[in-house]
Amino acid sequence: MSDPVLAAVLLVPIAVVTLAGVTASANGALDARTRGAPLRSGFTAPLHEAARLLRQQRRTLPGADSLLWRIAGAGIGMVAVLKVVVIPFGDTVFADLPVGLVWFNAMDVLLWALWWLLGWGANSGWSLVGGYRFLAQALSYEIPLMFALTAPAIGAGSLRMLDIQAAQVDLWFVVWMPLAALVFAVSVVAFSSWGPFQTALGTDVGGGVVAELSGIDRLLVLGGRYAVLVAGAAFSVPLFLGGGAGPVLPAGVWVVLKTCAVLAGLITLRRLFPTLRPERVAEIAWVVVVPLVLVQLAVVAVIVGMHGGAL
Amino acid sequence: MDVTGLVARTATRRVHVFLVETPGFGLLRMLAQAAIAERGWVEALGPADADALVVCGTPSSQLDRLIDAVWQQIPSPRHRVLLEPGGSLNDLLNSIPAVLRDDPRQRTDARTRRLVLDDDRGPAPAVTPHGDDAGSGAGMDPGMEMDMDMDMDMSGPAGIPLAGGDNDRDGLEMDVTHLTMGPLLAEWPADLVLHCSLHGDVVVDARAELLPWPDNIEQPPEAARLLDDAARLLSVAGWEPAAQQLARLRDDVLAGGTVDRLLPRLRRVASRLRRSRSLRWSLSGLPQTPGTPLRARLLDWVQTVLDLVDPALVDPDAVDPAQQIPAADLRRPTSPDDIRLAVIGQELAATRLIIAGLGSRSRVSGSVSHE
Amino acid sequence: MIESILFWIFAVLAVAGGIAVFVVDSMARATYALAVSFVAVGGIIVMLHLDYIGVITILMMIMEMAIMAVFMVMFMGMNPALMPMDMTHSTRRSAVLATLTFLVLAVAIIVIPWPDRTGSAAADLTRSLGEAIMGSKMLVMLTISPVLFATIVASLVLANPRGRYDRYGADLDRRDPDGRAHPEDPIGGGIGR
Repeated sequence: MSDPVLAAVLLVPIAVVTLAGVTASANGALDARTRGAPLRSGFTAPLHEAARLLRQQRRTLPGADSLLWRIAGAGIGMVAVLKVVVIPFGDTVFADLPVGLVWFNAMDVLLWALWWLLGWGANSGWSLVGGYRFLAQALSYEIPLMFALTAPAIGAGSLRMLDIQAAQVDLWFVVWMPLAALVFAVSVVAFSSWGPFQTALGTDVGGGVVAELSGIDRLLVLGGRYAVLVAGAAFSVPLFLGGGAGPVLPAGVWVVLKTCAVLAGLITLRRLFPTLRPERVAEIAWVVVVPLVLVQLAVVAVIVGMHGGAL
Repeated sequence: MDVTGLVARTATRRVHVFLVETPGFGLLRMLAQAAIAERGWVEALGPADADALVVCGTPSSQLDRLIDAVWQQIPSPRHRVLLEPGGSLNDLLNSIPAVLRDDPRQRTDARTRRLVLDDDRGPAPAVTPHGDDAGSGAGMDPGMEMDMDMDMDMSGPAGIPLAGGDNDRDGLEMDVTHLTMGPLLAEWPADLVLHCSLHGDVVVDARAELLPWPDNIEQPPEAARLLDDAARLLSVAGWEPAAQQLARLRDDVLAGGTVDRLLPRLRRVASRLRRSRSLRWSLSGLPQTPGTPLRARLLDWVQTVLDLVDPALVDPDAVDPAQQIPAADLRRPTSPDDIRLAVIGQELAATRLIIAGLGSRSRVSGSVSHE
Repeated sequence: MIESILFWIFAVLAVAGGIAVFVVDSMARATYALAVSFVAVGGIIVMLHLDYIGVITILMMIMEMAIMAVFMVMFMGMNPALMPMDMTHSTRRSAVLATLTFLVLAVAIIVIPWPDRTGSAAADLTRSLGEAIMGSKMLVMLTISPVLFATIVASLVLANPRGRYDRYGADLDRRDPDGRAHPEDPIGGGIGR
């Protein structure tokens, strides 16, 4: 078996799980500080939770579609790994697809199916409401996200992640496509169903799609959620933040560092906003955000046309 | 090396506690919340999320039946304790991890029940003659137990009744399902049960039921109660960090924190809530809410706490309770009928917000007016 | 070697998924069995080095199935969605049709004198496929697609701005009992209109 394949199979999942753990730990520590709980309990939360859930009994409900339910729970983390394999670490890409960008988009649409199935499979009212809430939210964020993904593709004139990264040698895309970058970041939070976009798992529906999950199933979903967040943050690096470009350190390290910076930003932002209800977000997304992103695309296209390529 | 023991110890460091508040025992619940936070533990959102069930106060027999049903749904390892006024909260909580770690005991417990029900989709209706078995057993949250008085078709899978149909608010035919919210539901007033008929997640009709309070129970101080209401509203609105800040302040008020320590933090939270545009936006758009808008009510609560705590404003001679009640509180719907009208036509998230916006005063003022 | 293994995996998945659609007894399962089948087909398209078309197929099919499941459940009415149910109807006619189609296609594969490859594969297969199919009509298609899109949006707007036309038909200027000019919509949008 060739080296990149082996690395992709072993390294990527380990790295994603580690970063997801670190993110959850940082988030837990901040929560603990706000609540006045011991800081240590926040930092170690991912470890303790994992042990706790591994030791816990699994549940199922009468009439539950356990097959679909468990597939959905296990799938979320896998989607994260599948997203990360097309991210270039310097010149190394585990899977150098000529359409890496579209691959990312396809994987993010897979989350639609998984979150909904998670809500459906449980055969519980709260879960079902949670699953449908995610779809309602997805209808708001997906179209802006697709347009936002188009901007770097136009800028680089390619869908290959290496080309998109290479087109930012002189100037990072985030500088001249700030709106697309912002929409992308918000969408990452939205497809992870986390922070202000956590309606599918909301307190007001008793935990929504995770309301009936326990044991390993719950661990996979809650961990998978952080893994997807990490994958999204990591993807913003070659897309908008110049990929592995940076002084002194090797490119791979820079990618991880930039990912951590994005994650830190997301964790901070989470604390500033209450949950945004899907029925309120829909109108904003379609009436305000979609036209703005289209204007962004037009600006990018004009710049590329005038300049004959990326800035 | 004892790996199992190590895992068990790690696994019981962060216990998830499902708190059940018996009507009237709010103070006990708040103290338990403070103790849970102090240990770095977590409050569970529902039975699936819980390791331990802590019942605060002596439940009535009717409530006890529901608590039993919730207990059935908690996955092993699990532990159940009853916290009564005068009991030692710390001893009680400290006993939980040890019980959770007790492998033989937990294994026996896990074997003696059927948490995992048959996964065969749809046993014949005759097998489960009455939906109640599936409804209040391991299947549904008792918080959302099907209301058996309603007319139902019993032919659904696993004996769970199917939905009937009716016109929704857009004039389209939709399924009608019945969902009972409360009394055992996280971030829900302990004394309120709301029987809803739902179209999807829109409430078409509702019936509110207020559970009786026992007499002569020590109530939390006004400031703690208002902070608790505010924290609950923010929690339902999904603003965890702000809700935690308020909950922490509530704990400090209960623990008798000094004014110099409380006041600056209170002011910070108050201005944070006042400034947040997204909160204003998120709490608006509920056109049918009676009385004051939710956000104004929330700010009112926090402002009242500020007034109560601030020594410059407290005048010991003028103890007029009516002045301490926020103006918004007096205009709030308190009767079951008001609650019913407030939630009809609203979607589930809005319903939760409206109920959380009622605060916990409704029962107190209600019972006062009866006397 | 790896390529033929992959091909067979995808091929078996595609066919098995297709069969599963009619064997399973729940709408959700049938929908997602179909999704699996389509994703496998997308995989095969990627193996033909038509990466863009293959990945887009996967993307569109998953999205479509996620939405379709919702609509299926919604339109079943008197919700037997959770009920175990037979996913087939007109069984005999369908079987005849399916067999005939299979035979026609299979015979065609064997009988048609497929041309041998001349020249080498283009660098960008997706582009050359597009040009081979569209050719000179590209400009026409580019013009028509916004028109088509506008038509879809316009018909949606006419059909359903929050269901008003659905509810009140042409009688939109009717007044509510309390004298309001428009049928009142219960849930406002997020930008305060």
